[in-house]
Amino acid sequence: MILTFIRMKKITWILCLLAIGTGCWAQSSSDSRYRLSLQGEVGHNPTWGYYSGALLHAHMPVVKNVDILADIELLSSNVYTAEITFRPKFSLPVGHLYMDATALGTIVARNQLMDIVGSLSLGYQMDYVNVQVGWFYRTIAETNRSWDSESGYVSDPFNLLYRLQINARPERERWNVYVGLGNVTPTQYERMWAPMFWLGGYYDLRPQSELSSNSLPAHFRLLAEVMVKPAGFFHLDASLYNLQTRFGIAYTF
Amino acid sequence: MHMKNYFRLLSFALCLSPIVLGLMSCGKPGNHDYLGFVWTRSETSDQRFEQSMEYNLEHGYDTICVANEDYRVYVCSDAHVDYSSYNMDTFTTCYLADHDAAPFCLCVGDLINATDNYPHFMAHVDRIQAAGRRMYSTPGNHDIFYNQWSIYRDYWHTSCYWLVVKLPSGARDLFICLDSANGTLGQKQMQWLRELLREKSKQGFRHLIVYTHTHLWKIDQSQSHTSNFAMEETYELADLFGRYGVDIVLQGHSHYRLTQVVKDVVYLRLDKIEDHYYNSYYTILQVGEHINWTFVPVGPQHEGWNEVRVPWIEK
Repeated sequence: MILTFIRMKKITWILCLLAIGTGCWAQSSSDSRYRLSLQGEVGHNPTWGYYSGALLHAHMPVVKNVDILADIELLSSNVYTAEITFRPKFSLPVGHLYMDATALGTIVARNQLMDIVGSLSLGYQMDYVNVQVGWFYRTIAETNRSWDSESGYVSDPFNLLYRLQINARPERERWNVYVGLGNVTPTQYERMWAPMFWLGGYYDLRPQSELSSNSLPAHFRLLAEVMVKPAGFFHLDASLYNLQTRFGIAYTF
Repeated sequence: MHMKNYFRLLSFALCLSPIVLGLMSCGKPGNHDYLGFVWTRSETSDQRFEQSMEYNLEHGYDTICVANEDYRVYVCSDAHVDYSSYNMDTFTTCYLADHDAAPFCLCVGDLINATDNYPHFMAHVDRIQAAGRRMYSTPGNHDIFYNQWSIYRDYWHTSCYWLVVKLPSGARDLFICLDSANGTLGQKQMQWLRELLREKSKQGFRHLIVYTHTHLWKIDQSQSHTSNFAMEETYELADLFGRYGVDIVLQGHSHYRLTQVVKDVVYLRLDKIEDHYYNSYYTILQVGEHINWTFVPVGPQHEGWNEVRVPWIEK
């Protein structure tokens, strides 16, 4: 048990050092503008029935080589999530490499539970492909648990994190369509054998030719995404579990 | 994107596909049902629930009388019977040799491994019934895969039910069977469970015991690549079981034991009893004022396998 703990600590240390090292080594990104998006959500699953909500996302390139991403999601099913990601990145001859250190907290008020996730992952983004692999730690705890007690929570110390997204066009284009799969989305961390699949796209209300001028005017982007989550994928008899759609607008400045 | 890039992507996907398909395999070679991993060919959870309720409405729910306030329930999980069933044979023999055991035993899913094996498993059930006892079962993913729900239903009639155990003092224990064979209870069964627990928790049962195949918690890698409930359903079930005072939830699926307590509910994940593997065990649940359990080793790999190893029986 102690050995496992020491080994876990070593892994955590190595990953933290990697994150810091990547940050120090990181290069400037071409995407150096702040973006704020607000999306409405509608979904259905057998557990919650129909639900709706809102997702607020902020992309903040706070310094030249480091982004901070933040999400807040409020769902009518009485579930509330906040996430923050620290993302150092550096350019490669093709695409760029990034490393995400994420903390996510979900208050499942309907069930008097909270789900706390910490993750470290490495990603590689190219024009058409964005792939991300990493590890996450999860603790599910009773909201009314006594914090000096060792009971009332479940920890899952190792979960594989993976995400693959394929774009029809490079991100600099005025519109795009993408498909993806993975066990993580900005506000959901599923177990490794429960992948989600999504199809989405965006459309800039002003052409990119205008945006690439020196003035870099503020502009709006329309967003839409459909996501499905099967139950029993891999080694069970799979069926559709959750269907969720998001649509909204992003403002870049 | 240039055609060249599309071609590269396609090549990448083709190279990856054998790995993905290999991971998806759920049965013996040549007997894969890849489509089942993305869309069920069997009846959905809601359809199975409706069919089970039709049977329950017509035939009612069982009440079993036991001779003592404390009784032993034999439980096995993940037998995966295929061309052999030595361990199930040992389980059945031990259970029938224990004259003080409860007149019913449980199987927590994955009775069989692939197609055409139900008769091999049911031969053991026939032995139990011939001795005047009963086995109750919940379906596992292997039991309904390859479109086998109709066969399961022919044998077991229902996958979602409850049974009452009546004690000499007049007190009662309630056992609830849930069908989680495809990793979700579905909408209708979930609603049924909410109402059932709300109603039964007020009726003064000594213990509420739930058994189902798919396990809720994943806290280590022992479960290998067995998937479980979506997070939304995990939260909901944990809350329901805790809120209505369920004492213990028996689960299988991962093949490895684990005991976890959440909201004062004990989640007992059971070992497999499958042949051909080391560390196969069945479980004996001692239900009294408190609930305790013992894991009993079986299998040819275990020293003294040929002996009937039941802790309460003098040989």
